[in-house]
Amino acid sequence: MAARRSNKKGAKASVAKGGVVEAEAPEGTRSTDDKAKSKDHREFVSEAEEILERMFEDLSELHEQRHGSDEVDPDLVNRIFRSGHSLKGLAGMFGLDVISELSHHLEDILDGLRLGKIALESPAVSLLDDGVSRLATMMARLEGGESTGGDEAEMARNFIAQIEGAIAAPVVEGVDELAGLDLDASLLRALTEYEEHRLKENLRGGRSNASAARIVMDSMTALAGQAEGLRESVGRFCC
Amino acid sequence: MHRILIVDDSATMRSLLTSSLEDLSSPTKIVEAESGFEALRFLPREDFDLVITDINMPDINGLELVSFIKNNEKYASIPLVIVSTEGSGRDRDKGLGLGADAYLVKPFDPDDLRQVVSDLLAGRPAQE
Repeated sequence: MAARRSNKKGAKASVAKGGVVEAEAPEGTRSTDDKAKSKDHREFVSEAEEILERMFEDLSELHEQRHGSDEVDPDLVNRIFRSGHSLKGLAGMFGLDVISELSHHLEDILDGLRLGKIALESPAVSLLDDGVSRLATMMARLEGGESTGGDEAEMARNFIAQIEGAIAAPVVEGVDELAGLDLDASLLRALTEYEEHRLKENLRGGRSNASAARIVMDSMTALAGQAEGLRESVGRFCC
Repeated sequence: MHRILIVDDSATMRSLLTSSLEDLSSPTKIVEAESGFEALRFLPREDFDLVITDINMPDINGLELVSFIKNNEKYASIPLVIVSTEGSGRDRDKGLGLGADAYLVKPFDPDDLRQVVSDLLAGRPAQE
């Protein structure tokens, strides 16, 4: 399966260590296009395998936490969400619609879980293992040179219908706890929906100090990057 | 030569973004960062003409990166393109509201990306 990319001819690029790529202007035909597609495909299969392996491990930890207490680590749930999110995007780029669609629905479960819209006890959460196993099977077939067959697509669609049924629940909108928070508006604008949710959860739980600490930590991370950048600039221009 | 910084935690996605820009009409140097934090370290090293970033990344998310760049006098004029799997209006509105110049949804069409990038680079003189 080829990546969705241009067939235009002309440019060539070389990748140097450190993630630096230099591309030259078009100057005729390009003979490396198929090789590049093949390389992209190999990278995709390898990265997808890593993602699925991580999802299996993280789901196992999630189940352990789930049976050990009423709460699970939000970072763990977010990590599994991000794995499903990445797989969805990658599969979509390679035109693997069934894998992308199934990843998307697993992502829906995980998104609901991390945003507090789906309970830990929801039957949808029990479908995660099965979903990841199905993805792993499809990826293994793909790696073996097989394409996703009609039967497999049909089974995936049925499974997706199961997920949709399991996550269908009314969403209760709460009070916006952030409205009265004394924080820089630009900082709040840069938060993702998940980060906003975590902040609200902390505020609801009376852990405003923890929330503030988290935001301050994020800001410090950005500032640390800025400071390092400034140090490098000084070194570059002055020494 | 134009310099472009690509920020995405997926190696495959970085590779796809890079190869999508191979056919730009002007010579281009592409630097890849695998996280928002790494992007912050790379920014001062080169005079970038464009930044392309994902949103969902493990340390500093793409929205925070956009906010940082657009609120920093030294980098504020660098055009910014968000390429995200997240197609909801919420993230698009947030990204564009923070100052991003364009928002593309994955899976993206390489032709669309090239067009957006070419348009944004058109107003910037090529560097040595």
